[in-house]
Amino acid sequence: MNDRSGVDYTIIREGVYTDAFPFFLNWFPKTTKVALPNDGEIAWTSRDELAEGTAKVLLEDRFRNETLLLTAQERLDLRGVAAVISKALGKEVSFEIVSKEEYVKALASDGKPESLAGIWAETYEGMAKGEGRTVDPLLEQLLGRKPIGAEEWIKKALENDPAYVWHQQVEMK
Amino acid sequence: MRRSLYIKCVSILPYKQPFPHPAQLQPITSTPITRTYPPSNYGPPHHWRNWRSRSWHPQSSWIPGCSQRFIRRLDELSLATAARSQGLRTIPLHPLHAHAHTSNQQQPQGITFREANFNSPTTLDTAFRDVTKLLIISTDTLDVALRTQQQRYAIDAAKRQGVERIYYTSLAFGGFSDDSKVGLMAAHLATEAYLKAFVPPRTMREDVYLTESE
Repeated sequence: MNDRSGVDYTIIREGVYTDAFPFFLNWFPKTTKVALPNDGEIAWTSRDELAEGTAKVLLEDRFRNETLLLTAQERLDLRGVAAVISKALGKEVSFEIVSKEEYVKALASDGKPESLAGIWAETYEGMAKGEGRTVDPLLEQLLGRKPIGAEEWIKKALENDPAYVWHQQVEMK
Repeated sequence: MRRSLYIKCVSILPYKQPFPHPAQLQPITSTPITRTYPPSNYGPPHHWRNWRSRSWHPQSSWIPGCSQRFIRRLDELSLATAARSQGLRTIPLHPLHAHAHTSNQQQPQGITFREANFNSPTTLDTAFRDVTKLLIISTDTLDVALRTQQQRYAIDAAKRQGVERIYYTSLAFGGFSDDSKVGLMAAHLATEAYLKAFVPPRTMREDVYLTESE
């Protein structure tokens, strides 16, 4: 092997994509009812700004063997996201907390495998414990401006395209 | 000194085609598939046709683990800034992005595109040749074992090719802690741990010298 000296790393923990909000809410343009097993605040961060921040990290020699966290500064819970969708589209999208069993059953009837439902249930549990709410000022410093908040981003996205979807949702169906 | 920036290559599979298990895959090629930009006589296969549209019929495709917008943004910034003022030599991207650029008004020049497949270490080896900085954007299969394996292949190939630093896009669940229970984090945490295992021993010594010389 010619692994002479190992390799340095920079781990960039990217904020939860604001762009993926339909994925996290299991929301489709026709959905009027969002039912999830848990709720929690997320420091949603737009993918464009994560890309910009990441590019800036790449151009610097700092951050050797460090773990970075890139997030916007605003937090919004999933109920809040549903409210923003309602407002942006001018139609009611309800938000409801259901039991884990009901949630898994609903996913299964939607044709999604149980293993996937398990991953999601864990994810929502983590959110409820606040795993998505940590914010860090690094992204703002890298951008030299305040990152765009979830409410503003989602509103713009839906005004631009009321049929907005996230690709992984489609893959999973 | 080699100064090049490498932006993730991804395996391209038609939409809805299941990922084969890495063990079942044969290496695709032993020589680098290199394309120059702008592509001459080169177009995407038919199943990429609708990659940017929102109509997801079975003929359309998606790139695992890759966000076009992410890459485009990286292009603008790192090409404009890095390629010129920082003297970065090449910024290879997947050919698909070459296609993406043909629709842009401002087209970056002098970029080499290389193909690689995350399931095939051989293609990664050839794609990462002469690369100094490597950005691995995590692949996007939700199969934890497969995702971890794909990313390990990339890290192993980077090591073999003498990459100096790997940048890895992980996910923010759990903040700075390493004990997230979120399902989506499992493959990220495994990959992070794998990366941390290969820090060169010189790191500590250099840090000491720095302190002493101050």
